[in-house]
Amino acid sequence: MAARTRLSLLLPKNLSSIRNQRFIQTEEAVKEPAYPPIVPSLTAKSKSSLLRRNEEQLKRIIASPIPEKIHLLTRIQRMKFVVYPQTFARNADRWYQHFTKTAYIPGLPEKFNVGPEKQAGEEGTSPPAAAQPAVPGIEGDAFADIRSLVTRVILQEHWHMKKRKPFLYRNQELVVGPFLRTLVAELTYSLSKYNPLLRLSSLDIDPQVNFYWRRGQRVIPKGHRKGNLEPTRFQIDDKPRCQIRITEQLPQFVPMEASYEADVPEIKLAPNLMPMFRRQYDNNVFTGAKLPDPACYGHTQFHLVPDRFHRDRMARRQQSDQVEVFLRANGLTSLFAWTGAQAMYQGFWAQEDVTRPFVSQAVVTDGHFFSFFCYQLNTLALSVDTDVNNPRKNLLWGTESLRLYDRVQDGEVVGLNDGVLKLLLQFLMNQP
Amino acid sequence: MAVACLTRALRSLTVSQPALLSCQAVAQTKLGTLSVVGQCRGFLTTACLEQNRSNWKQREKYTIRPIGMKKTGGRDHTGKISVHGIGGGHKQRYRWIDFQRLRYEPDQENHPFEEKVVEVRYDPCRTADIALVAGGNRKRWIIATENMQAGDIIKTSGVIGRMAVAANEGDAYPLGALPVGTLVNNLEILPGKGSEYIRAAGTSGILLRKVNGTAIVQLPSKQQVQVLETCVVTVGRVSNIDHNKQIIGKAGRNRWLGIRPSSGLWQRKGGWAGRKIKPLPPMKSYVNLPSISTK
Amino acid sequence: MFPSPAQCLKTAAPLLPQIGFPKDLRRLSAHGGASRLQARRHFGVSSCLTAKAPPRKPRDKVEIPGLEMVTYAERMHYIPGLAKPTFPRWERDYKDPRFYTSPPRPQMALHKEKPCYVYHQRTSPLEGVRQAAWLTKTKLITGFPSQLLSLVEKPENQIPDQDERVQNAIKHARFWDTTELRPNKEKYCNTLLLNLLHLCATLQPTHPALGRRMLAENYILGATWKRGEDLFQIRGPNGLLHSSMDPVPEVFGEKEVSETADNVLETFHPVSPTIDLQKVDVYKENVNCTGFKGSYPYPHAHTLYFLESADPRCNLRPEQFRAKMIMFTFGNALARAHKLYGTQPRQVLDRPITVQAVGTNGRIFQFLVFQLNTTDLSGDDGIKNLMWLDEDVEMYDFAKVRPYIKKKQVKVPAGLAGYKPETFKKFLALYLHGAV
Repeated sequence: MAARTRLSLLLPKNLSSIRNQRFIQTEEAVKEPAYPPIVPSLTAKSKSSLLRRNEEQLKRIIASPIPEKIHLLTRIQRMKFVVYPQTFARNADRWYQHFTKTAYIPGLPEKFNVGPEKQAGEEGTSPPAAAQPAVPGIEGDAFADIRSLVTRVILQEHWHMKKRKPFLYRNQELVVGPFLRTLVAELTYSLSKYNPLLRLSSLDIDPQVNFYWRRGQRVIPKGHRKGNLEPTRFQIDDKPRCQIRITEQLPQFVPMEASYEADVPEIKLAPNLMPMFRRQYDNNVFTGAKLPDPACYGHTQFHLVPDRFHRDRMARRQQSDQVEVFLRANGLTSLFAWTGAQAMYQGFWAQEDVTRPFVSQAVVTDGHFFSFFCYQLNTLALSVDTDVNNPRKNLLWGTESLRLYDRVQDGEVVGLNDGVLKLLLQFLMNQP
Repeated sequence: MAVACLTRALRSLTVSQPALLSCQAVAQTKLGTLSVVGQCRGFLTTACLEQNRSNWKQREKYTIRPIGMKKTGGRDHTGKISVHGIGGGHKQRYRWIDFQRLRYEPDQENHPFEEKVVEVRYDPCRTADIALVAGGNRKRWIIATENMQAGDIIKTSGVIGRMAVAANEGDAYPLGALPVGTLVNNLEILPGKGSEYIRAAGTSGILLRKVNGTAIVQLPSKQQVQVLETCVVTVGRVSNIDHNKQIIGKAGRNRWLGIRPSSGLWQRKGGWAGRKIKPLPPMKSYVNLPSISTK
Repeated sequence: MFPSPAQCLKTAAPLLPQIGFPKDLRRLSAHGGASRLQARRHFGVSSCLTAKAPPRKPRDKVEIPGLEMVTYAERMHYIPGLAKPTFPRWERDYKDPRFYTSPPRPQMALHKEKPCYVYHQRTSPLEGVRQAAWLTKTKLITGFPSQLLSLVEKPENQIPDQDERVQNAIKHARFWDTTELRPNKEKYCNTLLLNLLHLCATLQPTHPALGRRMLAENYILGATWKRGEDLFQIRGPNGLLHSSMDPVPEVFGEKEVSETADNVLETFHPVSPTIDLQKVDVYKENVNCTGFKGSYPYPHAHTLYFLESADPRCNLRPEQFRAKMIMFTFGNALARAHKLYGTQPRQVLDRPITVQAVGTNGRIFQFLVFQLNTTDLSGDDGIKNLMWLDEDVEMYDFAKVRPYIKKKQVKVPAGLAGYKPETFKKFLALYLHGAV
């Protein structure tokens, strides 16, 4: 004890300062750890290393610019289900609703069931007539002009123009295709007066629309990877007849929260029972033009019902009930692909879900019957790990097929339906 | 159909008395000892398909479009090589040359006519260059002469006047209308048959003399030929005159031209080899002169 | 492509060539030896012992009139020494479309003595523009009409952000239209034209007269005219047609029209002007159809758009492409004139008909304005038709996906290079002509 006290007396006077210095040193040492954080290895053959690699890849994807991001997401080719928008499968619309997490709402959103009270809010240039124009901004004369324009287009293709008789089972492609194209072009130009968006739009003829996503998973039944979990991959390759792409985004139909209560049919069966087949090729995500194009948002697509799925042929095969199903499936997949591709062009994907809803419209027709569809993409998080606790659902509004005109007789169009025409104009007039 | 062919082919393999054809039976009676042995041949399991061996040549209507050719490789219709050293080489398309220069258009008989040279180009099938000429309502390929260029006008005539014509190069006249000593090419020996002589690159014949109704032309091999004076020739030398100065340079170039190497086996040369110095063969006459002596 | 059963059977039946047989026998006998007398199968597949003999020409049958051949027809079976009977051709008494053979040419219903020369969309005339000018009796002026250019210089006739939007349109057609690296020529040619038309049509709000126009494709044109001794027809689908309700105003004044009477057309002896036109004996006379029947609301043809890559089987050189443009523009104008004024040739039309045309191969444009002054085309003198032809106008120099590098130096950068705004102005001028 004495030695200790003597030792303490022998200790330097400024002992306390040394002690303080030691404290300072330890505090600083606490701020900077001497070793890097302990994380699982990148290259080992272990489950934690695999998890770490996935996280690193995820960080890399999130940090990269948009073209790089899309490239990284679609780089590796694997077997995937090819989803055909125009398919012969029965009840395809329920299957596709499950794959794309879409709820179907019959009818159109309130925007298109506009009554006289909405008109006052629009920039209607003329005093709103009591019952007449249901299309905001287009008064009686202009509507009559457009109506006569439409009759002229119908007559031109079916009556006036001298062309070769269409080949067997190619009537849609050779007669109705050009008619649809001319109709869309002429209507776009006439309505560009009322809708300034259309002036800056880009009209594509026979474009391509592709989308690639993952939904659900399965256990691999056989092979060297037997027993592992594999996400189910899907690809849509669509070729609409024509589409209008715009530079600004369309406003949403309903807020995202409204989709929480919608119900999406769930199908427990494997996708290949639909029937749907798997192939492996380039995974494309394409809206109709590559990324640098300024018109990257979609407005309206127009699809043609091919001869194979024409309602007369379906009636001959006793499948008349599938006609509406076919139209719905077509509208659903085409619009999902388009809106999904638009969202990916803005940098959203399964892990980075959309912050604002993407909206597009489509019209599916076979020349006489028109069906109108509106789609709102609320979520892209469809893969297994991101779909947990995701209450958002995508929404599809659609109508039954409505007849535009009865027939062409002696150079006259008989039975032109104004309601359908108005709906078509409203679709094209949609603007923020 | 295929099954029928196969069964027929297989029937030839029957060991028991085969049904011999009449020629076989005849031959067998000649060579009695071999009657035991039937001509026992195998069979090809593939049916002999229609080859385009000569179908590509069967077109009747004239066309200026190049026609796809089938190379024979020196083989004849039995499949054996009849000419050695031919095979391979770059693919070639045949351009149909109109050798009958004096060919009138269907409704304009017996009028001398002019044609315009549209282009002169290389022909893979021959050493000379060919020219596309257009006149009236038709276009045709002809063998180009030495200084022919696109845009030239060439004349073809069948008229023999009293005075010899001052012929330009590329024009075609009957031999009787040309002055003696002109260089000619594309000679036809029977009037109207089409030219068969003096067509190779750089060659030319010389009109030596004209003798009552016939003309004597010296061919490039110095052989002399007597033909009727109504036979049409073109004036001048054939194009591509430097063809004989071309150096092949390597074996590969020969192969590109479709020339296969000759057999490397040393073979004793017989009486056919070596330089021969012979007098020129007598003049060949393609004219049936009326026989002077009548009995 | 399969050989007929008869031929197949013939080839399968082993035919011994006459030459082959003695050789084989010689071989068999020369080698002597008991072993060689054994039958040996020939399994080699490289050479064939049973090659088809070259076909022999059948003997020509000589018909001697008056001499009746005694045939074995009544006896119903072959008798050596009697001739083979020939029976008349059996015709089906009902009509079956599967077994219909068309009658020979001279017996067809529409056969005519005088041949007609037809120009269609695959014709490639040898002399090009000169031939087309002669056939249509037209005086050719190279260049672009200045009054149309001055039309576009005015700011109200221009599209807002014109240059940028046109460059975007070109980039979309050349680069952005496909998932692959670059779209192929046929596709980008088509897309570029449609994009440019779309741009021009967005001027409709400020120019309401543009609403009186309509696009039409795949219509079939037909027009007939006489020139010299020969009858000419122009038929077939040609290109994209922009037609309007109002006629196109004239580009040439009356003075210039009357001056053409002194102009001499270029001939190109010795080539005849009908070269490369298809000569037909069977044709319908007086084919005069604008492509539309009935009272079509847009009767006046305004502009024709031609694409070089429209028909993949037919590659036309630039000269021939321009000739095709001229001929079809003339055909449209003539069909319209015949409809308005009747088919009788008229020296001077009261109101000359003007039709425009634009042809492109995706980069180079040709502009044409054609004015039909007369339908009297049989003689070489008198009033002639007039046209402005602007040849080989480039819209941009290069549109490369990857930069062109030679000797480690970038000669041509990637992307659109060398854009020329004047070309689009001419395009717009032709589009707006008549609507301003």
